[in-house]
Amino acid sequence: MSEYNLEELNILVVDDNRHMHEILRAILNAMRIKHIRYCDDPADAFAEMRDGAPDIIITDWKMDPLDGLDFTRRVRTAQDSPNPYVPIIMLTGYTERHRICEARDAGVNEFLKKPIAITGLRARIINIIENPRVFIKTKSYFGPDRRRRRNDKNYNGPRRRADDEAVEGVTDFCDVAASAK
Amino acid sequence: MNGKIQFQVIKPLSNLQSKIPMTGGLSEEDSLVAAEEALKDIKENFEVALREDILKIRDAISKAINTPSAIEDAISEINGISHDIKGMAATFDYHLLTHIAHSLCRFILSSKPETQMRLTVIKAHAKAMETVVSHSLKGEGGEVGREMLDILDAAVEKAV
Repeated sequence: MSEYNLEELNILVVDDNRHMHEILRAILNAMRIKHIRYCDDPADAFAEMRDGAPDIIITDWKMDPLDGLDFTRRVRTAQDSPNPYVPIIMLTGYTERHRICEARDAGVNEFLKKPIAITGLRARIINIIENPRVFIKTKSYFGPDRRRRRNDKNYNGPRRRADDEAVEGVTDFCDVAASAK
Repeated sequence: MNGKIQFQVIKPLSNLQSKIPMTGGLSEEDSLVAAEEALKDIKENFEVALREDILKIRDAISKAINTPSAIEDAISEINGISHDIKGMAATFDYHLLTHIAHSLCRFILSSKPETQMRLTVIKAHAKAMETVVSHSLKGEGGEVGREMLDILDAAVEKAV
């Protein structure tokens, strides 16, 4: 994997657990990511987004009263969202497949289960940089393309959209979750 | 109706590849080493917080026992604290603690107010977590850890 210089990356952490702020600060600083803002209430996150213009948001799921899923939907669809296209990594202790699909359908870019695997977090940040996704807007969804590409020239599966250019080897987010431990 | 979904493909303007240089940073291996060192520095803070969380669970259990009308709120609080412990403990090598917290959260979510021995099972998990923390049982806890988990599994199976 490349040795990306992550010093100029701006990260916003949205988590109501202050200890998780410490953990993430330690891990992100170790990757040389210094521009990190913290928010323990998703209701205040839009103000942080306007002030800090984060390149990536890392959010917890289980928060109260507004949880990470609601927050993600708001980022993607609210009229006053400062940046509906900002990449979002969902960190969570939830691991069930239906949860992962829920997060995908809310518009997260990446999903990482807690306890945080350091290499896993780094890989997801790098993936966001290396593989930026187009956004899809339908009546019921607005967010990053929910398919993952895989360069499989032998894929002969069905096309999901008539003018689909990302056909070969598309892997659903949930298939990735199913094969993960 | 032709069954096709109307959709729009939008390519966001911002591109991190133009902002973040591909070289000059740390390799994956170096990042891992640096992060592990950094986590060692905050391990003590985490262990203090962990002991506080165990006390909060103990207080919530007392509240559940002494004030039956508040039992659901108390159990919800225990679930919240356990969920947080589950998400952080293994980061500091308390893998056994993560398993116990996971078992407790799963039990709370699957049990109902009328589940027999509900509080007994919750207390057993809390006691197990207390033991792990007070003895600083790191990793999976070896044979002791395995026995603890077996006992808790049996208690859950009996109750549910």
